[in-house]
Amino acid sequence: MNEHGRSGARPVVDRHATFEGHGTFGVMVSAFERALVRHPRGLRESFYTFGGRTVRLRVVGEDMAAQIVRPFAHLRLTSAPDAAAELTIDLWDEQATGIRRQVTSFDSDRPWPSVVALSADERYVAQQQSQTLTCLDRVAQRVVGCAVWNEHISVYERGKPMTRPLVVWHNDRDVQIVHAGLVAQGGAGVLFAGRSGAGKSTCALACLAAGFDYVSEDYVAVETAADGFLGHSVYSSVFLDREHLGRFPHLVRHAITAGASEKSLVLLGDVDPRRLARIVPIRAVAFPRVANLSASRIRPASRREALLTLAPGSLLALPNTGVGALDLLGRLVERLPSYWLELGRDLKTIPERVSEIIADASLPPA
Amino acid sequence: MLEPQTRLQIAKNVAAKVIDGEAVVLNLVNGMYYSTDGVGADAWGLLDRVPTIAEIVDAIVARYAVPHAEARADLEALVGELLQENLVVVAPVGNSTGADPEESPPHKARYQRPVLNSYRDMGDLLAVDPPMPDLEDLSWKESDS
Repeated sequence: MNEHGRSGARPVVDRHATFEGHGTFGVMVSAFERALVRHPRGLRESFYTFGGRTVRLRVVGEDMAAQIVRPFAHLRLTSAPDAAAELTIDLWDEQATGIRRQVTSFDSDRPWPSVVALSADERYVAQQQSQTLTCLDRVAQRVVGCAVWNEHISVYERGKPMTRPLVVWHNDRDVQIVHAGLVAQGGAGVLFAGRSGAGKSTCALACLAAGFDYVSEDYVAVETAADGFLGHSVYSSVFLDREHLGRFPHLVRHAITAGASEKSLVLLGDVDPRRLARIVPIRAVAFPRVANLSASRIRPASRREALLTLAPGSLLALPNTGVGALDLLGRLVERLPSYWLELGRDLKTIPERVSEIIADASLPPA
Repeated sequence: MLEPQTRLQIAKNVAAKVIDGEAVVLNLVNGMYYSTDGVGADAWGLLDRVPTIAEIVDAIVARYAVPHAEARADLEALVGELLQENLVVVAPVGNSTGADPEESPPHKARYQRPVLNSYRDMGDLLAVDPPMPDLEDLSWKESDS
């Protein structure tokens, strides 16, 4: 066998703990309802479209309600929908309401950034982070959760709340969340895929700065459509380290830092909300990689190269849903053109090359 | 040494796709991923039928210009690696979907020993959430009421 990668390295994978889902969920629902009764004026209700489906969000706690929705602001519906919501999210602020979660939890003395738990029957999925706990009932299509919403909340909880429940909910609807970026020009989307550090975020942000429509730089919910594939936005937030902020100085004044986090949070809705897109058709796949060039360049990628580069990073779901993800990605690389996007030092050449990819992808096959 | 009549099936929690003659295989439990092309991809493609090792060898010999003994030795080695990596398991009796023996094409393809490539860089790819420490010693704690 030929081995590639760090010798002896143990991969960090999406392993999870187990928990008593039904009881925990019931206790959380009761706590939310007590918060609602105690603080009716603190309730804020809004509606969104996630993966093309209507989602109802209720938050008890004014400050939390105002802040936690910011990464989803571009998905908000301007009026209450006629059809029933396909997901209800009920959250409360433990600090503002005084209502504690009152469930068994993971050892909170440990510095766990994020713990994912699954019930034995896989009906319930919970995610605990330093100050938040959310739980999804996959049958009832309901998320209930709480947070201690104060100045100590991490940028991750603030910028991409409820990550795991939302990933599972999307995947249950055959809207597969993949680790990729997505931008569009003229209604044609280019999916940036590849390893962390390959340049997906840089490409997405460079394109946004050049006037492209922006869907994501790390999470895209991919759905099969009659004439191809659609990419849905999930979050409009990005986490940027110091190096990234140096490349995009216009984002610095929007950067939110909290605690000892190595990365800053930028809510792109604060930067250029007009450029944030909810959904775009995907017309091509690009694999960024840093190259020792002054200007970026593109070259075609074979379908084999594309699948081997794209597939491993798609495993965002819990075990036994990866099969569906790989099948979708296989169909994606079979039907769409793929390109290596070799990144040069001049970031302005990235959107130029992406425009060329879009133009090339729109040509009829030879 | 594996018996020729050992029947194999794809392990649970393994996802795979064969595209343009290359099989990409992912172990959804431990995050390892693999590729194999040519003879290896063909052999992987046969696993949907829950074949015996002998049936895999016979199918490869029908497609490729290779002596039976050489193909058997190489494929047994490949199967050994697949078993070791928990990508395939020995199937229970009666799981086979059955298949008719393959007919040889008029011109057999050139044979190359199958190679399984493994990749251990999944940790870099799963950086979606903040980095997660090991969960093996996770313990429960009652919260304050």
